[in-house]
Formats: sequence, C-alpha cells, structure tokens
Amino acid sequence: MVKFNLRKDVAFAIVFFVGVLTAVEYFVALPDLRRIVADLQSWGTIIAAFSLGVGTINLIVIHGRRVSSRTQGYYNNFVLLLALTVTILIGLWGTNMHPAYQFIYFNALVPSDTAVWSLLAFYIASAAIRTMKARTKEGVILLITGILVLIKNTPAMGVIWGGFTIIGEWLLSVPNVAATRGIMIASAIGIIALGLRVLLRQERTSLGG
Amino acid sequence: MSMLSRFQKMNPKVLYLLVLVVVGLPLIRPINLPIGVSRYTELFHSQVESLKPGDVVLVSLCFASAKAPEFYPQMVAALQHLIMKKASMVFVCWLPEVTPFTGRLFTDLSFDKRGLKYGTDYVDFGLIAGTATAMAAFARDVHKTAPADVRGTLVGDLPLMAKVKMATDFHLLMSFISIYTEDFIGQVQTPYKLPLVTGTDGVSFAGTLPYLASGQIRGILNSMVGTAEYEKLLKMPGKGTSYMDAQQLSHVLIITLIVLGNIALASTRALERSRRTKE
Repeated sequence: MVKFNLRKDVAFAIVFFVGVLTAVEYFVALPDLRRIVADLQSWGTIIAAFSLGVGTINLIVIHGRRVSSRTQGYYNNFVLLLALTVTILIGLWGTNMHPAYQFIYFNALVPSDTAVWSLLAFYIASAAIRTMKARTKEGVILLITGILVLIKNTPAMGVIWGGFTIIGEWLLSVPNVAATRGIMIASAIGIIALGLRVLLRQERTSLGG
Repeated sequence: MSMLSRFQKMNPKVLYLLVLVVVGLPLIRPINLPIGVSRYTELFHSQVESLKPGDVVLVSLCFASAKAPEFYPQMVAALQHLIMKKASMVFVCWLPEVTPFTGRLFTDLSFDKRGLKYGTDYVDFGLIAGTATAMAAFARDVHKTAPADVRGTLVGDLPLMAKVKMATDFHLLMSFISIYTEDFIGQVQTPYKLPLVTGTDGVSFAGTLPYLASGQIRGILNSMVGTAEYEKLLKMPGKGTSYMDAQQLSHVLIITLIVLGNIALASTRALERSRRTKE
C-alpha cells in the first residue's frame, strides 16, 4: 500500500494544480481562469519576496554558527554578518535611496564586484593567446572567426577596412544566430520535458528528493 | 632559445602587465580612437526616436552589480534620449541587487533639475521579486502586482499610473538585461506583442541576436561599444566613449599577440620539420 506523505503529497498537489492551470490558461482564454491565474501569479511574487527573507535568515544562522564556534576564518563570517546587519538597518530606516545605503552600495559592493569581474580581462587575454592556435582545421576556423569578431568590436579597425565590420556582422548574424537558435530550441524542449516530468511527479528532486 | 620560442613560453605576468598598461593609459589620457555606428545601435536609437511626448516606456533592470560598468553608461545614454523625447518612464527591477541604480540615475541625470516630476513623469517600483512569474504578473496587471512604489506611495496616488494598467499601455519596453532575457521576452514582450529594445553586456550579446532576427527585439546596445555608438548618435560623449579607447586598444593587443603566437608556432614547426628532414 502506498503511504501518504503529508509534506510531499500536499506539495505535489499544489505544484500540479498551479502548473496545469497556468499552462492551460496560456492557451485557453477563459475570463474566470484568467482571474485565478492572475491571483496565483500575484501570490508567486509574494512568496518570492518572502523567500528573500528566508534566505537572509538562513545566511544569519549559518554564518552566526561559524562565528560562535570560532571555525577557521570565522572573522570573514563576522564581517559578512556585520555588513548584512548595517545594510539591513539602514535600508529599513531610510530605504535604498538613503545616502548611507547608496554609499555602502556604490563604494563597497559595486567596486568589489566589478573588480572581481574585471580580472577576467587578464585571464581571457592569457587564455585566448594560449588556446587560439592553428593546430587543427577546427582550430583554424575558431582562430579566424575569433579574430574577425574581435576586430568587429574594435571600431577603429573598421576605419582601416570597412569589410571587417561587414564580415564580423555576418558572422554574428548568420552562423552565430543559427547555432544559438538550435541551442535555444533544444533547451526549450528540455524545459518542456522537465516541466512535464515535474507535473507527472517523475522528477522527485524538485520536491526535496 | 630563439625569440619565437621564447615568445611562446612568455610569462603570463608579462602579458598581465601589458593588458594593464593598454587598459590603464587610455583611461588616464584618452586618445579618441574613431567609433562607428552599428546597425543594432541605429535600430535602438530609431525606436526611441519614434516616441512621442508623453509616451510611456517601461525601463526594466535585470543584471548583476558586477556588470555595472557595462550597463550604467548604457542606461545614462538611453535615458538622456528618453528625457529629450519627453517620454514618461516606469522603472522596475527584477533582481534585488540592481534597485539602488534607479536612485543613482535620478541623481546623476538631475531628474529634478530637468523639471521631471516624480509620479507624473517617472515612477520607480523597485524590486518585484519572482523573475518570470513576477514579469508575467506585472505585464498582466501592473496595479495588482505593484500596489505601491519604492517610496511607499500607493499606485492609485501616482498620476502616471492612471494611464498604465497593463503591459499593452506601454509604448516601448526598454530592458537592461544580462540574465532572464528569455523570461522577459516570453512573459512580457511576446504575449502582448510590444516593441522591445535592450541593452546587454558583451557576454550576452551573441545570445540576444536570434531575438533581433525574429523581430522580438527591435534594437540592441551591445555593451560598451553600443554605449559609445549611442553617445555618438546623440552627440553627447560620455563614459562609453571614454572607455572605448581602453577596450579597443586591449582588443588590438590581444589580436596582435594571437597572430604573433601563431607565427611563432608555425615557425617552430617549420624548423622542427627541416631538422627532421636533415636527420
């Protein structure tokens, strides 16, 4: 006999009900169904907003535990908790338009994020030079197209010869679009298949295994 | 060891130093390399140009703060154009980390000094959590999904929002997006068949092009190049133009080193081949 699991079975029933209604509403224009799905979508945004709070609590619990047990590098966890608390307090007190909030955001978070991201320039330069070698036929194709697209994104080179821009744009608009479309269609079919598996309860990991 | 084989075994630190010099020097002392205007930027520009005074534009933000150097100058250039066209703007963020950018834009573009009135000419809803679900809900019923703006003002008390109830009330969608592009197109643009122009980062640009070919996107600003081109069209040089020298020179450096690397590889192989033939 199949045992009833309150947590998983109820969760699946909700997923099935919401999923089927939302999918059907996309294709069938019934005013009542439209109203119900509109309500469900509004609830979705409210639940998503709550999940931000749950995520924050989770963060506090995990890092708080590490600070209290003094695990290796606990001071990093402490800095995170301190920054989190200060930012939340300022945000609650004066919204994210408050000068102090804006100061923290634009002078601490954005510069550190962009600094890490900008390091890619060095690694990409190094990787391009090391990997873009004409060792095989495919390598030659990659080398030529890579250089042409780089030139296309260097407008000063287009001044030397306008053909660089035309070839670069053709590479982006024809072979690139064809390949990207293929990937998009394949991944869309994959998403539909995954959605069906979730709705038919074949994908058990979506409800915690 | 020959020059060429030494080049092939170049210490990466030398390369990093070269990149640093090539990127850093033009930022300190710009050399104003020429900039053209691509088809993608022209299309973006013509969509904004076709707006009439009072038309409402949804300005949607969805990118990681690490991408700010690419997106912020884009937003500045595009919003300057929207202000010139006297368009009304509704701002929405789909990720929590981008919400402070709207406030920064209002300050940097001196919305108040230009006579733009909050609530009448522009409204900021801040974050609407839930990405694809939130986009679908917002497009379907703006007032229900965003009952109050970022300042806590009820949507009914905002004069601009009296004429915006759902997605079809927007005359143009303008999206600055590096992730969830397909969600925004799938949930907002395609169901309501609205004109969409988008600013992307360099990494996402190639993946956005199929939507331009299909007509779902009407114009694209491609990263820093797109910004510089847009500034050129507006005749208002800004950060995009000043950053382009660094970007162009770094591209030239990479191209030169790739070409030299391949010459070195070919010569080394030729030398080895001739040595083997002699043996």
